[in-house]
Amino acid sequence: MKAMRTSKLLSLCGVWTLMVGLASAAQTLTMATEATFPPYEFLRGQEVVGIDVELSRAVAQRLNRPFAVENMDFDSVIPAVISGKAQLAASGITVTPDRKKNVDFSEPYVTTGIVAIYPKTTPYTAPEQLKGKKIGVQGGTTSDTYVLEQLKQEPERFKTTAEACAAMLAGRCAFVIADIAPAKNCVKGEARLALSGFLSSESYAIAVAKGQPELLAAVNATIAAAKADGRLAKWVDDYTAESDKLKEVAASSAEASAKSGVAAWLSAQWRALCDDVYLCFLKKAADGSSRGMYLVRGLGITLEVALASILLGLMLGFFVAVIRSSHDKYGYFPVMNAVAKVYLTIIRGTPMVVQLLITYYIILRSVDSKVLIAILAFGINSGAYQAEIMRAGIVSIDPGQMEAGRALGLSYWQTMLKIILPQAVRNVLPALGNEFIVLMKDTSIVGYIALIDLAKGGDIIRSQTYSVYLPYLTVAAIYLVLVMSFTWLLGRLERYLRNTGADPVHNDS
Amino acid sequence: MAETLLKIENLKKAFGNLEVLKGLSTEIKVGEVVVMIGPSGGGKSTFLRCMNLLETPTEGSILFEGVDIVKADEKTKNRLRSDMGMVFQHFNLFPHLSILDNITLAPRLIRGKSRAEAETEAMKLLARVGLESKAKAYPQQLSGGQKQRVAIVRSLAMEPKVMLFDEPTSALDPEMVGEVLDVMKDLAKNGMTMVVVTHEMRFARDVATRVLFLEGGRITAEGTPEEIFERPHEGRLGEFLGKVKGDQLADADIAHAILKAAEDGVITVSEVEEVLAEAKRREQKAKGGAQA
Ligand SMILES: Nc1ncnc2c1ncn2[C@@H]1O[C@H](COP(=O)(O)OP(=O)(O)OP(=O)(O)O)[C@@H](O)[C@H]1O
Ligand SMILES: [Mg+2]
Repeated sequence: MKAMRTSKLLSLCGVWTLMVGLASAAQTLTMATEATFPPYEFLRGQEVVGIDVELSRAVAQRLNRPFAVENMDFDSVIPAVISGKAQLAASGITVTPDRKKNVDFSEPYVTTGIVAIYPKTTPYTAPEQLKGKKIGVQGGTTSDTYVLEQLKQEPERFKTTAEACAAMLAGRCAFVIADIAPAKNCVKGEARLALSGFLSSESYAIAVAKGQPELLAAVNATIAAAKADGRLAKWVDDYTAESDKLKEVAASSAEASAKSGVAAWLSAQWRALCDDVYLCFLKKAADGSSRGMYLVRGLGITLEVALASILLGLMLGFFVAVIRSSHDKYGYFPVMNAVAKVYLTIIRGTPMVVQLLITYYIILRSVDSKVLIAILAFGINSGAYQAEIMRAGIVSIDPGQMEAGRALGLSYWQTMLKIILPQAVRNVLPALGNEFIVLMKDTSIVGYIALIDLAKGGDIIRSQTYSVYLPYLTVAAIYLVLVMSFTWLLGRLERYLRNTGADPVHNDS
Repeated sequence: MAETLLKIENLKKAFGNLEVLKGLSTEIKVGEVVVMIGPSGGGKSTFLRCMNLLETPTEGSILFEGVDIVKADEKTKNRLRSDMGMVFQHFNLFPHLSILDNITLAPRLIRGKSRAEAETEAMKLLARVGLESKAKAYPQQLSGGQKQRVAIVRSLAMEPKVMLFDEPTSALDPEMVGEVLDVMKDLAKNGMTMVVVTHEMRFARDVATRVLFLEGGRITAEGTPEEIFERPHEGRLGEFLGKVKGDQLADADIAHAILKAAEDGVITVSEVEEVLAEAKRREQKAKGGAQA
């Protein structure tokens, strides 16, 4: 605190000296800003550039004065104009009553914020409508945070706002919340959708010291002109594009700059890792639970979907395999066999993702539970593969087994269930186990229907923290452990069956 | 005269264009032991499998206790099969079930017996064939003769009215044939109605009440064992009997006689084993010599 005051005092002294010295010359118009807020102001090499800079430069041109930029702490930007060290404060400053007491603000030159997109059939009128509804957002955006923090609920996260809108039109969510720019884009070509007013908004304006009506008028005139002739819009576009590109470059050069001594490097890495662990897993999110909970809950969903669909697939697979092999061997069930063939062809001929999306958007669009939808989609898919594995197992059983069963008076189905299938399963256990493993990992695409499984949980953490390695590697490790435990269990089961002496393949008696 | 259990009339069976059974008629009475003999491909197995409807006849009728079972519905057929035991050449035990479960599966599923009840009865039957110690074993742990005895017990557990045997000893090593035939003889002695396809002529002669000679899908000779075996025959039957007598009947007869003697205490088991081992050694020597 003390240090800061001293420095402010010093800078005050400096400004006085300057003002006395340059009193008579054509005064430089200085803009105070903190160049860390792209696209409004950011560093391009040593140079401060951005929308605010262009706007302030335009003011200087209108006044025919030289132009300069002072890069400083955001806390110092307003004091700088009060003190006269700078004439314009332009740093993405939001107009607040507190600030208004100390400085004069221009007309706002930009208003941003988030809005609700709604289908015209169910008009949006008041924010209370949002509570408790399913709300689609683009994951990791301010809209995501808004739903978490203001509405205190989990949003339905999609890859883009457009995707969220498509889901809303399909009846998958009630509203979509998005930044005004992407929201406008979505509504532009879509007559069924409309936009609400701002749910929360920010207006940026330029601040000048009190008692300078000419300067304020010049600023307002410049803003009006830039808005009118499209310059402002062009700046917004250009600098948004440039700053987006800079972000990517910064991410990759950060790695490159971290060297100079193995020990230093190691300790830096270690600290970075600790920070990362805290950020990704331990830090409390808006709803009071730590981010790691995304993985815990995601793991629960993954296991739930995987296990239930394995069971569903097993039942379907048994059924279809029995139909198919009975038809091939004895000519039974011709109609069901034809249906089964169509089922196998369609399921094995189309990608799993497409099947999942078709189930979600078309077949079961009225079903609310996404877990149920995923279980059905994956179970039906896996059933086709398990059916073919099981069929191979059934065909491998000596026909004498069926005859012996029938000769005892068992019905065809009794013989199938009690005699053929148990042996068939045993013969194809390794192939079935492999199918289970594939299915378990395949469930990682449920993110497509906005279900937060393990993989999606990791992705959300990544989108909230911008940390890439830790979330994804952790997710990969958890999958690996799952698959390895499953393989181990399967091995135990095979050994157990062998030890009962009843294993037809490893007949060592 | 005993009552008729199975009455078969003009039975025909074709696989596609191949007519395997060309009109068979016969009656099987309660307590009879009918042995079917005949050359390979003559249709013996097919005939037997038609009797319990494992194969569906193309023509003709099979009356079981007076009811035509060919036209029965699926449910009735299942019930009828449970009243007819069948023993296969290759045993067809269920490898994934223990011996006890092999035997009790059908009584529990079809007769609705409790596990305890079914197991008590199974143990009694196993004791009858000398295998109660194998109740907890699995089929792979048994010798061929033991497997076939278990297979017979599995059928008996359903308390069938007739037992069908399709070459029950053909897949067995010679030294195991006797133990299975003894079980069958014991059954016959206790009044079980039996239809047996076999190449064991000695069994046919000693146990059968009637012998059928099946050839080319027809019954070409039929009679008491004396009529079939003791009288000289012309044609195929004579040829057939000459052949089986020449290569197989003698050996089986001798082996059987030795085993019987061992059982009766005339010679010891170890002596029998010695003789059998010696015979095997000679046989192998002969084979090896022939190859060299
Ligand atoms: N499922 C079937 N499909 C087609 N042909 C068959 C089938 N079962 C049997 N056959 C044919 O029917 C004929 C009679 O066969 P079957 O098995 O009844 O003879 P068998 O008298 O039992 O002969 P073996 O002494 O060799 O056992 C044979 O030519 C056989 O190839
Ligand atoms: Mg046969």
